[in-house]
Amino acid sequence: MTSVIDIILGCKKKQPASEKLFYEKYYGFALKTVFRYIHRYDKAVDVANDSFVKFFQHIDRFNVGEVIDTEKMVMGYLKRILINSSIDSLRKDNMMPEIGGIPDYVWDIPENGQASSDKLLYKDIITMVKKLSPQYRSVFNLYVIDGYNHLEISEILKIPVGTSKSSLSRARTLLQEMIKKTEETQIC
Amino acid sequence: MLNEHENMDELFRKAAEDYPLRLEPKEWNNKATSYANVPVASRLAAIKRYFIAVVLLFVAIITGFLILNNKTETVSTALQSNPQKNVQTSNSNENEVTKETTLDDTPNDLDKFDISDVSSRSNRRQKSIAVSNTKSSVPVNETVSTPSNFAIFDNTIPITALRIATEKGIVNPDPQAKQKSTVFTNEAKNELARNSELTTVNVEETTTTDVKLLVEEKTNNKESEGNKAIAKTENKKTKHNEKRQFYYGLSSTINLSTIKQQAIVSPMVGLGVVAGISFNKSFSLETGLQLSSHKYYTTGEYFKPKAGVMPANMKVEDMIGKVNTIDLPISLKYNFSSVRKKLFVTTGLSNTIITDEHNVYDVTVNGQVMSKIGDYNKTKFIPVSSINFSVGYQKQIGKNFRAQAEPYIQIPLRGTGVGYMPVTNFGLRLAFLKSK
Repeated sequence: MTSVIDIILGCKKKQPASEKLFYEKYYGFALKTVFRYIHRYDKAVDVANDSFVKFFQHIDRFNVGEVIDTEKMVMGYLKRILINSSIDSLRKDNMMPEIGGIPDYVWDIPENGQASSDKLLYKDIITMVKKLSPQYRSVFNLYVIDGYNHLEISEILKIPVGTSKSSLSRARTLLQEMIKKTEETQIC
Repeated sequence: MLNEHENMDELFRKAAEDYPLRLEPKEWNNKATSYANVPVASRLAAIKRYFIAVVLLFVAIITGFLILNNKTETVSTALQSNPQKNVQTSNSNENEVTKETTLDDTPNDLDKFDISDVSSRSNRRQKSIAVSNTKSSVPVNETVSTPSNFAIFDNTIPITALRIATEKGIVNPDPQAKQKSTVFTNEAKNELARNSELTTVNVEETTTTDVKLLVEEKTNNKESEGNKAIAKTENKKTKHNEKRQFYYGLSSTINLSTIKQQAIVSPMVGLGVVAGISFNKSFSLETGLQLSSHKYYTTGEYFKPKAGVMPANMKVEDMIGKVNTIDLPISLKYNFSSVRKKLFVTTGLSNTIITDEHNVYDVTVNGQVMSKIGDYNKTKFIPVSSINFSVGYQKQIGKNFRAQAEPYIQIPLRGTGVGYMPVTNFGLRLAFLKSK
């Protein structure tokens, strides 16, 4: 089995086989990251693919170190590209809220309904996050899931730090309301 | 409170890692390598530019063909309207321009000859011969019945030779005769041979056509069979033209859309393929596949989505929408006029597949006005979505190709998009077709 470091070295040499291996290895991670930000699935796929291309174009900047660190570094580097691409895509639409539900086919849930309760719960949670407006969603994703602080978020989103904080607060409140509402529905 | 947040954050982190998202088939070879050589930022812009360039190139080619063809036509028309010029041109460059001559076009001198009168002097053996124009742009086939012992001439007659023959009384002129022909007796043939003027003779200055003489030495069966064969081929061609003819080609559209005569947003373009079958010279059945985009504006009055599509407390004030569609039209085409220049009208119905819809709404929610985006990528088939009318002009280019320009209008029969809006489309369709 080819190690990450070999794949990265192959990618640095612009070897198509290595690029393909890298793409296949990290495609799931990339799409899951982007889909948290981008409302539509097909658009998320496009953004993810664009991010891979960006990664391969700028891989020269990436220095290969120890094997363990390299994988983490690669994922961090790729994640940064994925997030930036997603934010750019949202910014193109002026961060306007989207209308339209998420079709069922985007979820990897067996049709016989034998998915684990965790999977269903996670699906509902991500659906809730996607119901937030693009700005609240972005701030929430960046802060809570991707671990950025408010200063970094303000730079990425080009908003004041205060707005970032208030957006996070508002997002949390809205999500709590949604969870509460879901729980009430399930009880009924 | 802090713990509550931390617990909640932890839950969301786990969900973000493990949520069950369908991962598309990984087709790096097909997808990503196609991006690789193009900077990502300019990829969409490049595709857009490429698309516009293709459409413009297509339009330019058609326009070029039309212009070139019109010039050729003008020269040809000018030559036909000015016979003197035509004669001169013929003399200087015989291979290029030749005046069409038919039996009816022969000079007035020929009116003096009556085939029935001449032929009554001998035994008659009916023979069918084909008389065709030399280098004529439109072939003429005509069969003439003539006695066997008469020499057969082409319809291009040497007037000087005829005059000699008339003066010597070899042929019998009949001024009353209406039927025109060119029949000589054997005597005439011999006389003409003696005068050594059996080849092409220039017509007098007053003559309006460039007439040539082709005297046939023998009226043997072999030649006759040859003529028959030619006639047969020509007839076959004519019959073929009457047969059903299949044609196909490319089309591009520049379209505008409006909803109930409200504002028009911007022109959009489309590309497609056309295929059709001509039943005869007048009627054709045409179908095709047209990929196009439409942009339109409407107030909330005409935006009537199904219940549940929009939040209950939201009222759409106005919207600008864009849809990508695949049109599947079927239309009946009626051609006017002649073969090379054609005006036509078409009418038909369109079925539409909406592949993608992107709407930007101005909405009021609880008294507050805001903008919202609606993206709908669910493919939707709308059968009999519109009725189409068009009037167009088509131009033959070469033997098998033709270009056509066709202003059209699509009147909606059913609503388009999530708002079931009555979108009227109109514009110009250009097509480049090849006949099979």
